Amino acid sequence: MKFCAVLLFSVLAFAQDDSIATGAMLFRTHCSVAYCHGSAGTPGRAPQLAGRSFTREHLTDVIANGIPKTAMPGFKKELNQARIAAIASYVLSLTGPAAAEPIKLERRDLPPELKAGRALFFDATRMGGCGACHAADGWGIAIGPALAKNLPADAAALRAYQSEHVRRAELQKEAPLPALPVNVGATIVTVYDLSSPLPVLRTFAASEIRLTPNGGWNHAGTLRAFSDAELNSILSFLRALQ
Amino acid sequence: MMKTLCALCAAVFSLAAQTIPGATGANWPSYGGTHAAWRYSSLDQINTGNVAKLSAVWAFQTGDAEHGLQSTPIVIDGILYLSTSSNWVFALDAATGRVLWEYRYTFAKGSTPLYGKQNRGLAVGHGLVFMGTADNHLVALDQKTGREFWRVNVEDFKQCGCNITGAPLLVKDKVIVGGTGGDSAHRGYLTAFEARTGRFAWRFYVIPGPGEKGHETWPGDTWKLGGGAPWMTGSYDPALNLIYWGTGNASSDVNPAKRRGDNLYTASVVALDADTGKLRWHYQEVPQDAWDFDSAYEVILTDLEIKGVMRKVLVHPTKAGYAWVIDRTNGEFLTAWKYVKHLNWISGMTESGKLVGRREAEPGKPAFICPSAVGGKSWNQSTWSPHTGLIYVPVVELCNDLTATDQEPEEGKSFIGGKWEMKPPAGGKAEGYLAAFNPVTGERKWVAPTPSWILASLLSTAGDLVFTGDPEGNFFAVDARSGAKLWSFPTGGGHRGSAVTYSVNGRQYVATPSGWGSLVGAFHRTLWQDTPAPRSGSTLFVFALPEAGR
Repeated sequence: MKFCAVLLFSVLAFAQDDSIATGAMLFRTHCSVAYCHGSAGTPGRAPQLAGRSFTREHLTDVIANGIPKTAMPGFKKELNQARIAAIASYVLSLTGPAAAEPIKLERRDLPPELKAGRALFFDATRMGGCGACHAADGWGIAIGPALAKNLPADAAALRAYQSEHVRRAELQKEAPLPALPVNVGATIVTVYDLSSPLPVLRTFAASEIRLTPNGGWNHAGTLRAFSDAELNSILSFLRALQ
Repeated sequence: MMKTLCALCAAVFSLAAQTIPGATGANWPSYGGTHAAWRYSSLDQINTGNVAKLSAVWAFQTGDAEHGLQSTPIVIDGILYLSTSSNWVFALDAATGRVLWEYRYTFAKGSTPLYGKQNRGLAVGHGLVFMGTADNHLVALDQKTGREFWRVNVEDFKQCGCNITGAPLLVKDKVIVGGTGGDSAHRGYLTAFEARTGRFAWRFYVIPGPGEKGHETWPGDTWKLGGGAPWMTGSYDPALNLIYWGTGNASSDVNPAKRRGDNLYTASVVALDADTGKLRWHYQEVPQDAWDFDSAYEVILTDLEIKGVMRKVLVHPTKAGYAWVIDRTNGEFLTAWKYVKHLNWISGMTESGKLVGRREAEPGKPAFICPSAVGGKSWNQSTWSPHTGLIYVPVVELCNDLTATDQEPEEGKSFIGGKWEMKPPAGGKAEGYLAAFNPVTGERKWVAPTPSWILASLLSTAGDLVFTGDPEGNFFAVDARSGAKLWSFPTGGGHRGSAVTYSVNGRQYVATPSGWGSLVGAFHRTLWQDTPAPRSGSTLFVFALPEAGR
């Protein structure tokens, strides 16, 4: 009896391994093809699968039916249930520690009027808008301060806002520039050069650069591309994040 | 003998007639060898007569094996600069492999790049070493110390669904870089930065915005997320002051139903003023792409005699299975020749270059299309030898079933609009081989078969050799005039990078990256299931003749 149980267990374990092996082969053929999931569930152009927690039911459903209106196709026409189950087994087997921390791609669900503000905040047709210097709601480049507190009251106040963080950098070999200090050491000084629409993190020898208060920098220049109504919409979005 | 002499005359003539310096010498100064992207060296110390004696003289293990070593080393004045997939950079003594300095880019916590880490090369000049990163930054390092000099985040990679894998192009005082993202909902662009300061200089959007010429080829808002990512490296003609860059596929990749129109300037070659980034002319190879047929590959600049007249041309082999030959002064179509055997996405082309008989996938109904979305070749580069007058191409014969589905774009997320399933050509097998072509007529002079396919770049030399490596791990040389294999060395790792040649103190070296990787590379086992998987790794192998320079 005991022998039978061991045998049964082995057969089941073997069957499971076999399913994973079949799934691995099918995964390579259908899922990690050129541009989708990476090999062994690493990130491809589609999300990383390794190291995440899925239920078998969810995986089976998504593999069979796809995710409508997304790049994820359904496979039930070309793969039978056993093959779909094998792929699910394989993906479930990829649960070790992920190669690296997966990135959070989902952003919060917002009502349409706030979504409009968010779209303006990150407007790619305007060089990434505010997102080129500020992070919010999972996107953006965190060079400037977080925007959760002390938001200007309206568009006019936002345009006039003088950053207390920006300095004027006087340089030996270049004209002065507005600079956001990152690291001021005895020998090396690192600042963001804000004279460029895409801020540049630059390293200087301490002897080459002198930082003085009052960079004389405000948002007016960078916000010229936005109307007051658009700025107010952006402010509404930021208030909703608080 | 007479024949040899004539071949020699033709070669000398063809070299003398070049108005663009395209061959490398002691140095390998930029990604394509020179800005003409020939990947051809005038060095001939190693040649068909002695290549059998070529021996490994040093190897360098980077320790960064995650996505293999896909890089092109740069060599300047006896120093070799090498980037790795995780954006590490090494400066090595090019004769001995001794490390002079190293730099490791640090990724912000939680910033695992969407497409994994991959890097294909550097640009060096102005005392700086430039590299694009897997999280979409451009960095400049001090060429003497490796210390970071400046860095700029080109765009939040989570927003654009893009990053930088290609080598930057350094033109005069500007460094220009493109990005990936052609399979994401993204509007591709090139950005130029001032080399010394990192300050923004200009940006060229592949898709024209409202009010710009070409915008009318995009219905509604489709221009905002329509693809076109120029993800590889361009070329430059100093005499014309023009930058040439191949652009990516339109998105969604396989379903053009919502973007009826030519979709300018996707799947094109564009000529930009090097100082301003303004478009001078364009030639669109695949209007309204429905097959993921990027034109993002190398743009080879040379002069060719066509119908009795020497023309300044560019030769542009793209995913679509043709090499286009275009007058690089004005964008005039001269000819195009098919470099794959299996091609059915169009039935042909008129003499003026108009495509005839398009076949695209109908929604929900698979269409069997050749070449596949991998392309008639992958991004690994061809080489042009003015010495033999031949262009050498790493050809992939592979097809796919394309199925189009309806998909709504979401900025930065995958935007393919269907799926593809790789299939061997009808009645044939998936295969890869080296092939030599006449660059004007497309006449195929020879074919060198390989065990599977070639996803490493080709290198040609005045020693009449063509070097490359295979997924099975062998780095080898063939006779540039016959394709006969003359030498091979097992490096152990699959080849997905770009070999270079250079000389130090009169001794010629050939250096090749070894170590399998990349998204297309991951597909190898599906096609060749009975053979061992190509091995990853990240090693540079360097070869020379035992007696040379002594």
